[in-house]
Amino acid sequence: MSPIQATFDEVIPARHGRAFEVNEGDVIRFTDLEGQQCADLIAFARDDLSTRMSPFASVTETGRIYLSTGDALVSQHFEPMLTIVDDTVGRHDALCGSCSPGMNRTRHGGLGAGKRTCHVNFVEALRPYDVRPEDIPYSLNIFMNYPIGTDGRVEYATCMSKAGDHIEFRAHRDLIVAISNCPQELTPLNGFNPTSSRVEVFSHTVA
Amino acid sequence: MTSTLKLAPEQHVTVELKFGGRLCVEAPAGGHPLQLLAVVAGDPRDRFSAANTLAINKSAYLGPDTVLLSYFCQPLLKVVHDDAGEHSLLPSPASVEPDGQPRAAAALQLLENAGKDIGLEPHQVPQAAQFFVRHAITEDGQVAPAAVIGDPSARLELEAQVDLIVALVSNPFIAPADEAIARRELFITIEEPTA
Repeated sequence: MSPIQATFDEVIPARHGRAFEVNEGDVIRFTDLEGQQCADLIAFARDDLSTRMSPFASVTETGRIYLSTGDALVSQHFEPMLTIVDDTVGRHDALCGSCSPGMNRTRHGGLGAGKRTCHVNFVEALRPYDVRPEDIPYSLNIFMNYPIGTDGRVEYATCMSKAGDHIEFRAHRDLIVAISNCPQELTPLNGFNPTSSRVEVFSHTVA
Repeated sequence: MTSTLKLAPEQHVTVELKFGGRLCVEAPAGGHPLQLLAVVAGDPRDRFSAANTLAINKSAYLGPDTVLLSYFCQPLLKVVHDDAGEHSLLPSPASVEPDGQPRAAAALQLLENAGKDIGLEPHQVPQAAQFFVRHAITEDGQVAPAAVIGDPSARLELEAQVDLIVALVSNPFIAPADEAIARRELFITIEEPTA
């Protein structure tokens, strides 16, 4: 199996998202191009859109809130979907899902109205696959710095990623993956300044 | 007007709650793991969301004054009385029964059965709100197995913020096996809103 080829390579503009297909064995690399940018990632089995990566089930599987290199991301029925194979930051969120118009309204009132959100990015990106808005699953939030204290309190903090930091996932089956460059500008998550990122997919081709 | 139901271990019940109505749970013999799912009565697409509840309340635990939120971030229920302690929104770490069966899969099966009764497809069944259990968290993010909380006669009361259909699941599989706890029953009382 060689050589490795990039079958997908796109810069995702600030505040926007993309959906793309990967094959079993492919490696997805997400790179923060400018620093302090988090991104939400969701994944569906290509042959069964009701099977989706579940961050909550992944926490059940690992017994840890903070997932990193070597950890499997599993479906809601604990089937392996992706494994983190490289991670230069080591801090991601698996619990708080995606920002949405409802969350912006609840948290920020009128100030949050009309802003782009990860949920809307996913709805747009997944339109070709007929995924209903209410069926967008909860995301693994790459580089999102959302520490949880031993008292259970959680607070948003700025992503620890610097320009060039990346994370890689290996696909365990054929998947539809969607990534949203988090548009959140009203919390410190993205340093109040959402920026761009790069997504590459590498496939092994038969020589 | 009130009505009371008995919830036996590993069973679930569904109840309708009107805006302002109250759902009371009593644990006569002490706490027993209880999971809650809910859908908005007029819009079953909108269901309980542990992720949004955690994010908006800024806590992995539920207690007095916590508001449980929906997928679209609508307030569903508010905890108005709680003498059991902090309840958990966190997933239980996987463990295995002595007979080799994973408890997480058994827990999910009970939850999906309850979700079906309130109109949720299996893939729509969310992480549930979990009462009478608490997961300790270490600084490095390890989640401890669920500890069952609540003394005998512990009581929990939630007030509906909108018309709801609620599923309550007695789910011992989210906590480590304990025969004494696994036999405990819970009593569910529905209080209709006052005019």
